[in-house]
Amino acid sequence: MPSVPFGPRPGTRHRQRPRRGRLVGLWVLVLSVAALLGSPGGAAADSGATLRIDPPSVKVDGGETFTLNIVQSAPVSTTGAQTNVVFNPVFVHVVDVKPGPAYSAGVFVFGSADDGSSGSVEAAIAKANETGILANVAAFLLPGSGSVPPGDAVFLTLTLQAQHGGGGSTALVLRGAPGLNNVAMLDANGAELAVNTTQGMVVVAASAGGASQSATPAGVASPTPGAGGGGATGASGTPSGPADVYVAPTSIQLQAGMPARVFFVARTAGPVSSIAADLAFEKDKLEITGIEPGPAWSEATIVAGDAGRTPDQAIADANATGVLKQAGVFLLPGASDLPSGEGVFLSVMVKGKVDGTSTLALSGATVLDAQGGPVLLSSPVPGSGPALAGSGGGFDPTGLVALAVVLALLAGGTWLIRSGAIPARRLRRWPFVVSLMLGLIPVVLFVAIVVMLVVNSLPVLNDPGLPALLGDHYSSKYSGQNLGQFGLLPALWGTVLITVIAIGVALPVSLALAIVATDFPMGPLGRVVRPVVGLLSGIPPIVYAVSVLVFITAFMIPKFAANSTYAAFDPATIGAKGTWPPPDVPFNAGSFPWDLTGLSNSTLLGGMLIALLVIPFMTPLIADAMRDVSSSAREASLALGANRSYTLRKVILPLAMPGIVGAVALGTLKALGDTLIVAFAVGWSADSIPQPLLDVLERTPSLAAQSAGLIGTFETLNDSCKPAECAVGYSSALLLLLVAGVVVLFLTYVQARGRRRVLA
Amino acid sequence: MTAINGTSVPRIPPDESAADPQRLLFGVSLEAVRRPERLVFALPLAGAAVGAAVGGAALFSNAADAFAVPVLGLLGMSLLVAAAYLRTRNDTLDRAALILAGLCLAAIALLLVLPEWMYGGNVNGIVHRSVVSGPLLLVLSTATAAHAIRMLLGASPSGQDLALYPVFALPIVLALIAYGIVLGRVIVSGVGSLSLDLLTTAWRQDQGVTGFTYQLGFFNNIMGTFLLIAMTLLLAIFPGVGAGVFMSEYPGRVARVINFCTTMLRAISMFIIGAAALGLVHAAGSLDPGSFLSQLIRGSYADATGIRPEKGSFLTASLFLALLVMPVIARLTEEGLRSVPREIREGTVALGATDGYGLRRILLPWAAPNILTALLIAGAEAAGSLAILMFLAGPGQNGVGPLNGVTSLDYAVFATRYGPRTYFDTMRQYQSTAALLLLLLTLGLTALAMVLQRRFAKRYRGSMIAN
Repeated sequence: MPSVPFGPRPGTRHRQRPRRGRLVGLWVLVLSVAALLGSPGGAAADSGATLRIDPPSVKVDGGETFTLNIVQSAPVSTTGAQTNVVFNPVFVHVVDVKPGPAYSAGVFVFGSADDGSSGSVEAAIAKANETGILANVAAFLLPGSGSVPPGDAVFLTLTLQAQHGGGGSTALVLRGAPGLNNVAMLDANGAELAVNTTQGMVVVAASAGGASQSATPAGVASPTPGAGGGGATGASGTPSGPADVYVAPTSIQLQAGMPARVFFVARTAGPVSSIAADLAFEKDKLEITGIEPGPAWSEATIVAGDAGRTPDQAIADANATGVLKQAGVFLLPGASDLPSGEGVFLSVMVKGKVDGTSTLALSGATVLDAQGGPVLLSSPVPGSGPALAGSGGGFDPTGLVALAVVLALLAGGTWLIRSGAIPARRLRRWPFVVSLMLGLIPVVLFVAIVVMLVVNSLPVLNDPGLPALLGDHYSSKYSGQNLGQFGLLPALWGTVLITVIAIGVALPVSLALAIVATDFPMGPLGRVVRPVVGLLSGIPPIVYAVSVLVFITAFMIPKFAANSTYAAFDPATIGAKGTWPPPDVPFNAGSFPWDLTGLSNSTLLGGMLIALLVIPFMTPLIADAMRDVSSSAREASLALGANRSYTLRKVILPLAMPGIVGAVALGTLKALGDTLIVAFAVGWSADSIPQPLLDVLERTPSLAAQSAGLIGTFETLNDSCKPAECAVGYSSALLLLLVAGVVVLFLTYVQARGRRRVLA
Repeated sequence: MTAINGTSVPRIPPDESAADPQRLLFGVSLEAVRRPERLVFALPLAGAAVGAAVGGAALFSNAADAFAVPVLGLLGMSLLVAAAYLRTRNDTLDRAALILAGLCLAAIALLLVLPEWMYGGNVNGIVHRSVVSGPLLLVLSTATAAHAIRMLLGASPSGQDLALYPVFALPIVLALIAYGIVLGRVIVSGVGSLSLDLLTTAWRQDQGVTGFTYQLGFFNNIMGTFLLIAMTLLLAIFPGVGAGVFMSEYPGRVARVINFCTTMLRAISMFIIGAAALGLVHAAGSLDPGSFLSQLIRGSYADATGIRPEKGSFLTASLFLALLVMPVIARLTEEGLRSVPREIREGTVALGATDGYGLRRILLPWAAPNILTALLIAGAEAAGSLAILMFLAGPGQNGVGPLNGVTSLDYAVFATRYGPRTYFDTMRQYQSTAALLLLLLTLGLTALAMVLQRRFAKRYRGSMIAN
C-alpha cells in the first residue's frame, strides 16, 4: 500500500523541475514572433508606353461631325493595343471607329460578349452611345504580320458627332472599367505593357435656341441648359449642396531628401463624379514626386495639368512653375457608387529639397456632381491636420511595448501566486473563481453579438416589414434586377439543403475514417488513415474554394458539357491571361468562369465542397470520442469472445455516442457557417426557391452568403449598404443564428439522453 | 499455452478450424471456405467488384452510365442464384441476399422510370440519371460485397470482421481520391511559380515618379499568418480552457448556460463575427488616427504627415478570431477532463489534494492531448478564416506587428482573385502559389502538432493508453 511520502504536502508550494524552463521558452517564442517586421524596399520598372487623344481638345458646334485619333506611343515595337473610350453620350455620339493604318493588315475587335455588343461595329457603337462606354476596342497584328515600330502611330480613328442641345463638354477618357478589359498594349513578344493614358476634351458650343437632346441614356440626366463648359468654377446652383475642398496640412515640415504626403480632402453633400484643384507650393523647398487617388477613388482616373498633359507631364510642369494645375480624380457621371461625404480624394507625394517649413495653398477647385454638372463651393476651409516631421515607414515599437506590458502583468501574477504572497487557504477556491470568470467571457461576448444583431435587424420591422421577409422571392443589387424584394425563404431553404447534403456526405465518411483510425485498422489502410486525417484537418477552407474548379473539370464537365451549349469550351483556357477572370466583379455570380458550362453553380457541388471541409474537422473529434471510451469496457467485450465488429457495434459506438453526437453538432455548425466559402462557387444571392424543391443541380445559395453580400464590402469602409439592405442582411444573419440554435438544442438533448442511458 | 502448476491448460478449439489449423484464410480454415454452398457466394462478390468498377467510372463519365442497368441486373441475378443454391443445399433462407436483390431491382426500376421530382430542370434527359446511377451502383456493390464476404468467411469471428472491410473502405477511398485531386491540383499549379525570392520579398506598392512601382512577394503575408495564429491562440486559450474546466468540474445551471453560449459562438458563422469586427473598426474610424485607441483597433503606420490608419490591426483580428475559436478549445478541454478515469480522480482527492493542485498536476495534464488537438484546430481556423480577414486585411506593406494592419496568406489567396485592383493586377498569376504556400504552412503546423500530441499523451497518460 503506497504511503504518503514525507516532505511538503501536495497543495502547498514546492519547487518543481524544468517546468519553468518550458514556460520561459514559451514566452521567448511569443516575444520573437511578436518582434517580426516586414518590408524591405525595392523598385520595379515602368514601360513608358502611352495612349493619347489627338488633338487633345476640340471645340465644335452642335451637330458637327469631327474626327479624333487615338495615338499610341511606345519605346518598343508593338503588335497590338486595346482600350475603352469613356465619354458623356449626352454631348457626343460615336459615328464610326476604324483602326489606324498601322493596323490595317491586322485584326480589329470590339465589344464584349456579355453585353451583346460584339459582332458588328454598328451594334458596338449603338451600345456605346447608350452607355457612354465604347467597350473593348482592340487592334492586333497577328504573329507573322510584322509589328508597329516604336514611336508614335495612330491606333484608332474615331468619328464623332456633337449632339445638339445645351452646350457643355465631355472628356474622352481611355481607361479600364468594371467588366471590361484594361487599357494595354502588346509588345513584339505578345507580353502586355502597362500604359499611361491622357484624356481629351470636346467642348460643344451652345446652339442658339436649340432644345436639349431628348435621348437620355441610362443613368445620365442632361444638365441644366446654359451651363458653361464643365470645369469652370461653379456659377449655377445644383441639387447637391455646397462642397468644401481643402488641403491638409497647409504647412508642412520638410527634411531634405525625405518624402512626405499632402492630402486633398473634399467634403460633399451628395455623390460627386470628379474633383480637381490647383495646388500652389514653394518650388524651391519641395518637389512633387507623384499623385495617387484616395481610398474612395481607387477606381477613378487621375487627372492633372492642362488639357492634353499626362499626370507625369503635369507634375514636371508643376515642379518648374510651382503650381500643380487641376490635379484630381475623374469618374464617369451617372455611374453607380459615386463617392460622397468627407474623404481624401487625392494624395500628393512630395519630397523635401531643404530642411524647413513650407506652406501650401489650394485654389481653383472644381467639383462635378453625379450628373456631370458643376457643384457650388463654399469658401475654402483652411487646411487642418497635424504638421509633423516626416520619418518614413518601418518599425513601430508601440506594438512591442503593449505586448511587453501584457506579458509583464502575466509574469507578475504568476510570481505572486507561486511565491506564496497569497496565503494558501485563500488560494484553495481559486480554480472555481478563475474558471468561472474565464468561462463567463464567451457568454458575455455571445450576448453582446446577439444584441448587436438584434438591434441592427430591428429596422426591418419598419422598412420591408416582417411579412416581406417571409416571401419567397429575393432580388438585390447583385442579382441584376434589384426589385427590392427581400424574401428570405430561398436562402433559408438553400442553407438547409446545402447543410443536409454536406452532413449527409460527411458523416459516413467521417465515421468510417474515425473507426478505421481507432478500433478497426484494416492493415495498411488503417496505418495511412490516421496521419492523413490529422494532416487534412489543418487545411484552411480557402484552399478548397480555390480548387473547386478542379471538381468541375474532373466531374462535371465530362458528364454534362457534352450536352450544354458550350460543348467546345476548353477548360484549359480558364484563367488564361487577359481573358479571365474579369477584373472586379466579385459578387456577380453570372460572370464566374465556370458558369459557362451552364450547370456548375449547383447546390450539389456546394454541398460536396462543404463536406470536404467538414470531414477533416469532424473526424478527429469522433476519433477522440471513441478513444475516450474507457478501455475496460472494450477489453471486457473482447475477452468475452466478441469479435471486433460486434464490439464496435454493441459496445464502443453506444458508449461513444454522446461524443459523436457532439462532434456532429460542431460539424453541422461549421457547415452552416462555412456556406460563405461555398458562395464563391455557387453564387451570392438567392433569387427564388428552386422548382422542383430537391433540384440539387440548380443554384440555391445560403443565408450566410446573402448576409455577406448585403453587409460586406470589399473595397473601402466608406461604402455601406442602404439602411433597408443592411437591416435585411443582419436579419438573415439572425435567422442563421436561430437555425443554428435549434440544431444545438436538439443535439444537446440527444446527447444528454445518450449520456444518461449509458452511464446510469 | 501457459502451464499452471505443471498441467497444461486445454486449448478450446475455435469453430471448424480443428480439422486443419494450418490452412487458414483470414482466420477461417480453408475447409470451411471450400464448402460449395459457401463458395457460390464468390459469384456475388465478383458481381460486386464489377459493379464497383462501373459505378466508379459512372461518377466520372457518361459512357459508363449506359452499363448501369445491365450491371445492376447482373448483381441482382448473382444474389438470387446464390440464395437459391443455398436454399436447395442447406435449406436455409438467406434473407439478406433476397433483400439486396430486391433493392437492385428497385434501383433498376428507379433508373428506368425517373420520377418527376428527380427530373427537375431538364437540361437534358440523361443528366440526373447519371448523377444517381454512379452512387447507387457503388452503394449496392458495397453492400453485396459485405454480405458475400460474410457468407464466405463468416464461419469465424475474424472472418465476420472482414465483411465490414468493404463498407469502410468505400467512403475512405472515395474521400482520399477527392482530396488527392483537389490538393494535387493546388500543388501542381502552384509549384511552378514558387521561388525563394517570392517567399522572402514583401509586397510593396510605392509611388514612383511615373506611376506606381511594385515589388512582389509573400513575405509579409507569411509573417502575418504566424503572428495571427500566435496571437489568436494566446487570446483564446485562457477563456477556452477556463470555460471547459468550469463546465466539467462544477456542473450546474451556470455550467449549462456557459455550455450553450460557447456552442452558439461556434454557430455564429464567421461572417457575423467579421461583421462585428467591421462595425468596431467603422466606429473607430471616427477617432483621431493618432490616438492610442485608434492605433489599437485599426492599426497604423507612421508616415510623413503623421500616423495614418490602416483598415484593421492584428489585435482586432486576433480578438475576433479568438471568439471564433474559443468554443472548440472549451469543448475539447471538457471532453478531455470528462475522460479522466474515476479512480484517478478519487485517488487525487483521497490523498488530500486541493482543487487547484488536482487541476494543475493531474487533470489538466491528462487533458493536455485534447487541448493540443484543440489548439491545432484553432490555429488552422485562424490561418484559414476568411470572413474576418476579408474586411480587415490589407497587403500589409507597412510591417507586421500587433498594431500594424493585418494581413495573412489567406488574404493573399483571396485578394489575388477578388482583391483591390492594385494587388490583383500585380499578383494575379500567383494565386495558386499563394494557395500552395498556405497549404504547406498549415500542413507543417499540423504535423508538428501531431508529433507533440503523441508525446504529450505518452507522458501524461501513461504508455498503456497512448496510441
